[in-house]
Amino acid sequence: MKNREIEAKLKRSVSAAAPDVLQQVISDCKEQKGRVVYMEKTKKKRSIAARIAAVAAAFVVIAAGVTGFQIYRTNYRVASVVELDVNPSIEIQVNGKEKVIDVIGRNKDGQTVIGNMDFKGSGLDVTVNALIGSMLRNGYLSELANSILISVDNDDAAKGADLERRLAAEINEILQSNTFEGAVLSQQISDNADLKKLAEQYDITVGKAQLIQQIAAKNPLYNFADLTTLSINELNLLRANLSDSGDGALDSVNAIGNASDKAYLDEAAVKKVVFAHADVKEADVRGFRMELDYEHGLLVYEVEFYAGNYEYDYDVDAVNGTIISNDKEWEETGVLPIPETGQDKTPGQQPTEQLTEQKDTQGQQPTQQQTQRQTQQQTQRQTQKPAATAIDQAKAKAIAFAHAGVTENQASLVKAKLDYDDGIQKYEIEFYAGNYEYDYEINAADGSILKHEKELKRQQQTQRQTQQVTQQSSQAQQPVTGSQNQNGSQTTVSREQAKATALSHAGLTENQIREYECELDFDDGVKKYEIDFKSGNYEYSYDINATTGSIIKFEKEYDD
Amino acid sequence: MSYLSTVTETEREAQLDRYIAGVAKEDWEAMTQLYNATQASVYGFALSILKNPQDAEDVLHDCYLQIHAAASGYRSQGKALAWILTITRNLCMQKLREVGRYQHIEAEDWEKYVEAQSGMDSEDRLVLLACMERLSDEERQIVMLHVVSGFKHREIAKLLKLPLPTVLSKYNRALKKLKQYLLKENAYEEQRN
Repeated sequence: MKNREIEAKLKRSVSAAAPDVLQQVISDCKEQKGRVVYMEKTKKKRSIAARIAAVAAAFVVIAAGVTGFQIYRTNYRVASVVELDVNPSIEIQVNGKEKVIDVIGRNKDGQTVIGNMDFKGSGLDVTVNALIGSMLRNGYLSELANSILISVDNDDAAKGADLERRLAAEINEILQSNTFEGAVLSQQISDNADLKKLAEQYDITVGKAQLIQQIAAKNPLYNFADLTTLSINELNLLRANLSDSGDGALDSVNAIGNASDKAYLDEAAVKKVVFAHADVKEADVRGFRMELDYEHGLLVYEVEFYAGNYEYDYDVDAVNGTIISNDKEWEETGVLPIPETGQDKTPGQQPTEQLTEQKDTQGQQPTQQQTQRQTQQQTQRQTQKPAATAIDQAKAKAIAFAHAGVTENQASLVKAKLDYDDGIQKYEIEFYAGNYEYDYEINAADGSILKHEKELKRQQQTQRQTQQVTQQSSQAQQPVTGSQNQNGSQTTVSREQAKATALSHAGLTENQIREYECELDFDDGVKKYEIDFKSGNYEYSYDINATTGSIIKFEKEYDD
Repeated sequence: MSYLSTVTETEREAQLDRYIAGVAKEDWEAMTQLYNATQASVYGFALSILKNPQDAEDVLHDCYLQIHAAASGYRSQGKALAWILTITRNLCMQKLREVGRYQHIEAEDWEKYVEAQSGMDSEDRLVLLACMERLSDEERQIVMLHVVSGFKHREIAKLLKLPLPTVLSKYNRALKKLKQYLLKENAYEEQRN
């Protein structure tokens, strides 16, 4: 037989085997049609919509029943999927007899744990035993991080629950025989398409995604994306914290043992750090409260206490005790040392609120003037609070999110507070989503957007704190942190290069923009190009470092 | 590969370019023609990567949605099929990430899959089966691209980012494997009859 004959046969067979999905494709394409596509953000959204449509279409095709597929689909079906998450993530597929079909490392650590062990055909218990043993040997499970998450996915809820119970007990037993106590979380995976999408998006297991989603749902200040980087031990600590602080236990997660907090500072150590910083004696401190929280991408202790006439707020890195933010506020004499529970007083918002005011005096005693100013502001605020606001904070947030085109899930809220400025009551809402920082001012009377800004997120927290660049101040001064100061006498980036950088960042081409302006400026020791242009209804402004070509700042504003 | 088609490679590419331009303008007739001209290539390549008919079918569907979405931004370089197959490969990679692995299918299930197909004779079935079962991943991808999509070995090397000699030797080895398999199966059939 000749090569040519074989080739012809293969070509013919593949052509014949290819299923006809043309009609489905055309109808799905028509559905896509007519959606407005302009900015990169919307574009991304659309591709998700397209994918959802594609998935939906795939289901339709399956439901329609493709000849020949049904039989073999049922034949090799996996009866249960068990996911083990520590930091390594491992997926075990078993058939109806609980014999292993496949074991897959879902991340690099997971693959390390599996190594070259081959489990195909082994019993589930043997496999789990070997995997836990390997995790212990490789140091993934230890005294410092003792939590493991077991997620069971089985179409039969009763069988799944039974398997979940057995595995939790078994793994707990393995861990107990070690020198440290383990903490076992177990859950059943609910069949949820959104969850699978999220898991896929962040490249984590569905089980971990489900745990994160439940934790995020309990505390509005947590956002899903941030939590995906945490280990199960860290998530377990947050989970336990939620139950303790009265936010409620997670419905579907069963927990045995306590997550290890040995990797984090204890209360005495935290007290030492903050009291030394505040220069107060423990004896003078009233109402000390400390809570583990997740903020700024870190596990932090939120510390609050009163001493003298001041209320102190600290965020302390839970691992190394670094003070991330601090705030000292004047309390009027006679005010009871009990934190008020007003709406703008929830943890996480308060410290940030004060950062701008405190940025120059961080770590110093406030001057007399400042304290007076603060007192005035407070009294002012107090007198204004009773005034009726037509929309509440939640509504204001929703307006901002909708305008920014982000969902509450994607946004990491930094600040949401009611303020009084220029005779108008307004909500100041600040949040992060993707790589951007958004600032909104929403009129509390009618919900109109008074001001909005979108900026590329600062890479470092410290920069963010010091560079609260607003429209007004950016023209007067461009604050730059010390480390970035350069003598910048040479200009290595040409105007053309700077323009190209700005355009490619904006995703626009030369002929889409108008009113282009470029100015070389020297500000705070940095040579930069200030580039402005318009496109569509938006006004773009970029500051591009003339030495390195990097984007120092960019704003995109709706131009009406 | 003269037997593959009566049109030359350049004519074929120019045709595909016109179809894609039509798709950008929501011309469904152009979409139909594009689909008919490239469906086997897309499906075959997807099948060779994913080794799973259901997933390959999903990718086949998604690929044309993607082409539709990207058509207006497509700049012809006389490489329309390479563009389409790059989309196919990206979707396959995405699919593999989604399912986290190959959805491994047992030999008997491949047989059932092949049996269920119409429009091919028993030898065609055998070749398809051998291609899925007997060839390594790279061999299978190379064979599909060459045989079904009509790609030259040089183009395959570029698309799969492999050295040209590797592509050539793997292709030859793959065909040898298919041939042996077929001869053996035929001999077996004859004995049985």
